[in-house]
Amino acid sequence: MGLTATLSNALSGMGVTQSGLEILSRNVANSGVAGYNVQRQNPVENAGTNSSSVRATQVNRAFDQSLQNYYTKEVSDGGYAQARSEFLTRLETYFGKPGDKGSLDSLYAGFESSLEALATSPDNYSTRASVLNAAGGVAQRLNSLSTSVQNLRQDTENQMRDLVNGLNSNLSNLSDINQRLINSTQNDSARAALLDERDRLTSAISETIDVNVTYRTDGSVRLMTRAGVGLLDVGASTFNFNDNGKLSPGSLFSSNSSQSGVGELSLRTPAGLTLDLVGQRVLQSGRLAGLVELRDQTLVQAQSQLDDIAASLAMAVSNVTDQGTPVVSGAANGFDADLSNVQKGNSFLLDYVEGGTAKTVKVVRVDDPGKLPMDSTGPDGVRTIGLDFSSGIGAVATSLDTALGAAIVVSNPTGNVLRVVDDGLGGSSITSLATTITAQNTQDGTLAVPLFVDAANMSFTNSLDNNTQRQGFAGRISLNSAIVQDNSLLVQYSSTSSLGDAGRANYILDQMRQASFSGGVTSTKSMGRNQLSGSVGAMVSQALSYQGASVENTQAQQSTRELTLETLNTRMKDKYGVNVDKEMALLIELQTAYAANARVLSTVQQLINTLMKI
Amino acid sequence: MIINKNMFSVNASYTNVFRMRQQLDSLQIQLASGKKAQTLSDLGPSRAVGIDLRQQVSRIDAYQNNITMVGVRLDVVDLALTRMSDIESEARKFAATDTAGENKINLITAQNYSSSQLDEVINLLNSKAAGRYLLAGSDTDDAPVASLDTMMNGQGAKAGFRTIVSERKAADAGANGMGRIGVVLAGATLTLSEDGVHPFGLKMGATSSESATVTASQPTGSPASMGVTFTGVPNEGEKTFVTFTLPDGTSSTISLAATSSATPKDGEYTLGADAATTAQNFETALNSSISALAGSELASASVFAAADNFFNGNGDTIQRVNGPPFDSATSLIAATPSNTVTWYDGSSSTSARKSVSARVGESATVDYGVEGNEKGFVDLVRSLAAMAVETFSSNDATAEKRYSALTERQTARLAQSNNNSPGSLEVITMELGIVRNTMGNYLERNNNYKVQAQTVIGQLEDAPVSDVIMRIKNLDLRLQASYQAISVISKLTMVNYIR
Repeated sequence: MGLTATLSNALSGMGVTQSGLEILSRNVANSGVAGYNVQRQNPVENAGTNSSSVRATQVNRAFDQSLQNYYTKEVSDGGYAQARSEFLTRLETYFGKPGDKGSLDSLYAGFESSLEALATSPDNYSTRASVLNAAGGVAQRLNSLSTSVQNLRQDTENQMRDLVNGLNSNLSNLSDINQRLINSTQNDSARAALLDERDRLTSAISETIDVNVTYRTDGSVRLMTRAGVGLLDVGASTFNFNDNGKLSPGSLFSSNSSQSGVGELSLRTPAGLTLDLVGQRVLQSGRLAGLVELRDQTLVQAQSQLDDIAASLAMAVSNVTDQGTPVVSGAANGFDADLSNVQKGNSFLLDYVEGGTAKTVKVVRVDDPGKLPMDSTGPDGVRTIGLDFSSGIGAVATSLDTALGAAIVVSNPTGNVLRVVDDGLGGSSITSLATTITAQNTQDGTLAVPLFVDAANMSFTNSLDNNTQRQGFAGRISLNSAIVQDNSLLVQYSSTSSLGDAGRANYILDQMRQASFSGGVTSTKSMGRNQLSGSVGAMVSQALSYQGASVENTQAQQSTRELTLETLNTRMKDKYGVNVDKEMALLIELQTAYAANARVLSTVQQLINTLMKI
Repeated sequence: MIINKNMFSVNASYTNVFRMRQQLDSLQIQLASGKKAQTLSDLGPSRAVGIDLRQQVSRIDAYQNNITMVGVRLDVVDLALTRMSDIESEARKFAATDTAGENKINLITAQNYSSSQLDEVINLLNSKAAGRYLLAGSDTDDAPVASLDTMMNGQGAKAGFRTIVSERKAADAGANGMGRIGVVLAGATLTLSEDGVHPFGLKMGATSSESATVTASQPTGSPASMGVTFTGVPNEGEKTFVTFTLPDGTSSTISLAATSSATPKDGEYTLGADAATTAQNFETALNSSISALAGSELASASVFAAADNFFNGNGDTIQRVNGPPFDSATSLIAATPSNTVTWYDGSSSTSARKSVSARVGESATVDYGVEGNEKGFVDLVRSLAAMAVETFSSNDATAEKRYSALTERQTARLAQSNNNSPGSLEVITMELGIVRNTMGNYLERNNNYKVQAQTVIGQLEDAPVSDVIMRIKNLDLRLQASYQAISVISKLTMVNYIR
């Protein structure tokens, strides 16, 4: 009551103003700091029995949980898109722009042109040399593209390792902060700093991996992945990345860790449970998910497209198709085919009509018992049967006879000859029997030539045994050393044929333009839609278009993400950011309030003095 | 970590300015490079179209190169053909004179003249462009025709044309120089018979007589024989004809006229008292006529028959007389590459033109092969070689007759009436002319297509300069305005106004 109350009111006002200034100065000082949320003083009226002073309660830190959750989600998606876009942009620079010197399509077109010149001047040394140059150029380009793709995959693993380290330290820091937040004895400003750090760490984590954040009332957080795997509750889980050495086209992911050729990404919960993050499909977004997708799908697919191009290039030049010889056996008609030169992966195609329906069966030599039995009908209606040729044509005939049913009779009349005849009753008829084999030598009488070979000058037969020969072939494709040493082998298909004979050059050219291939079996199911098919040139063009489109999509996706994040940033800046103008206005206000309180104080003092003088 | 670095710290308007700056840079690159896109992804949906079109343009370039290359080759072949045609007409003119000429000048120079012409023809047949033999069909890497010396004189164990000619001459003339004919007189009947079934010497053609007392019997049997029977004494002046077929397919007739003179001239026989004596005189005259025929016309025919055997055309083999002995040989055998010179070693196909072809369009090829053993070349080489192999000495009594027999045959073989037959020089020239014409058409068509394709590629990929400049102007304006605005706004802070 009276002067004493006035005095204490003024003093409380001065106190609150002072602490307000302290908070204001902190806001201004931190105005440029990322992740600093603006703080506000919250003064309340302190109604006593005979005075009504003011009192500073807790410091309010600007925070909007739903905005924060949205931000966390967007950061994850942004991280995912950015990882993909970074890598695919690099891949794109490796592929080069179509039409540029050194891009795959220009090199391939150059190879075709050089073959054209060869067909016109097969007797000219320099023409032949330029064919080899152009062919070598294509092979080297495929090699270097394959290496680049594998290097990119390697890079994804390097980044994964770094990310895992970062994640682990961020998680343990966050776990620390959680502990300190639970401790409620801290003052408000220290607490606000901890919360800022909490939010910074959460968004750093969400950039790497998709998280759902649950904010508890005490300010501590609980992190779970979108799939529901707990990352941080009381204790933090630990991420682990087990390197599997250098990546090659053959190192693919397998959910069976003993067969997996890539690094293993796992999570160990505080309870000691270990979880394979890739195998269990835990990762849904975030940079880590982007990297895993790149490593196990996108880049693997790029590699398999390159392999398909390399394989079709090699097969176009080296494969030759022999039509079977018609044969009549009693009432039955059919064909004989000599299978002595059929290599692993080579095949013969049988066209026949059974009960009025035309059917096509492709029989492939597969000696690997792990791949057998193989009998499937593709979308094009071609039934593919894999058979083991290693125990002789007799066994092949027996198996095929069983597989084709009673209407088609398959036998092995002599040596390596396979005979396919109809039933002789009109119930079936054989249309054709064509054997496709790979020329093994440069001069074995066929026009085909093994110009492109696998490592160690081994011919490419598209063998399906073991890991399939196609896998990673783009990295191994090279020119046949015999032809490099003597380029006349490009023309002379037998030791007596003339150098002026354009037969072989024309054959290669025709094969390049007309022979049709399709992507191999290495493509996994999800890639089925993007299988290349057609002539070699068409495959090159398809691969380039596909890669271009996929980069374009990824970049578009990323810029959308970036825009969303930017919008969010603007909103967060409005909500959380320090507006210096606002702070200055507040400063003037506080200054005035302080001066006013001081004025009250001095007036009270004068009054008391007056009182004392009485 | 890039995302969180600008965690609500950078003003959004700054980011926009930054983005505009990037756009400006990319527009500058477009202006400088003239291309809309710098990377695979920039190309957008036109990517596949561009790749395919560019592949086609590259193919067309290859076809155009082919056309140019084939054009050069055709030029060379054309030169060779023109020169050979000239040689042919010169040889024809030379042979047409048919006489030994003044002081037998033609006779003496004939061999040298023909042999130099043959040499030139051989060189022409071996014409090449950039190391490629053009008249060898598809065997373009080796000279198709042997050199003149090798061809005429042989090489080591391989016999040349000269040897083949002498063997053939021996086989045709027979041991007694009677052209492998036997003449037997029995009473008043004279029988002429071949000495065996073989392709050599004179072959029975026909007999006839103007006289009623001479009965001519036509060839019968195998070996063939024919006869002349005197039933009485013919009237003076009445002629009896005996016709033989010569080895080169021509025929020659001996005509003997009856005369009462005791010293009959060539082509006459003395009439005797009765049929038997007349027959005897006829035999004497016939024998000497056959002998003369064998020494002149038959010898020339032998040379041409040998030329036909040695200079094998398409599909034929080189043949030699099966001997020794040659004068009693009864068959021809195929020569082997080790015992006889192979005059033409290029490719030999049913359709010479198809032996070499070049692609000039997406599905168009031209066939422009020429093979040195096509009929026109072979005929020319045979005639010149036949003339070049024979020696005509002015002292040789038979020389003039042989010479005229040779020129007669050469004239027939090089006659212009052959110009229309397949494989003649003229037909080859014409066929190659058609090829050239076809190529001209394709050249034009390809060029048109290429221009179209490039226009489309340009539309897809070239940056339109005016458009780019307009955009740069526009961006420039916006960017400057933004900078201005930022600078103004940044000054507007309350900090500046607090005293």
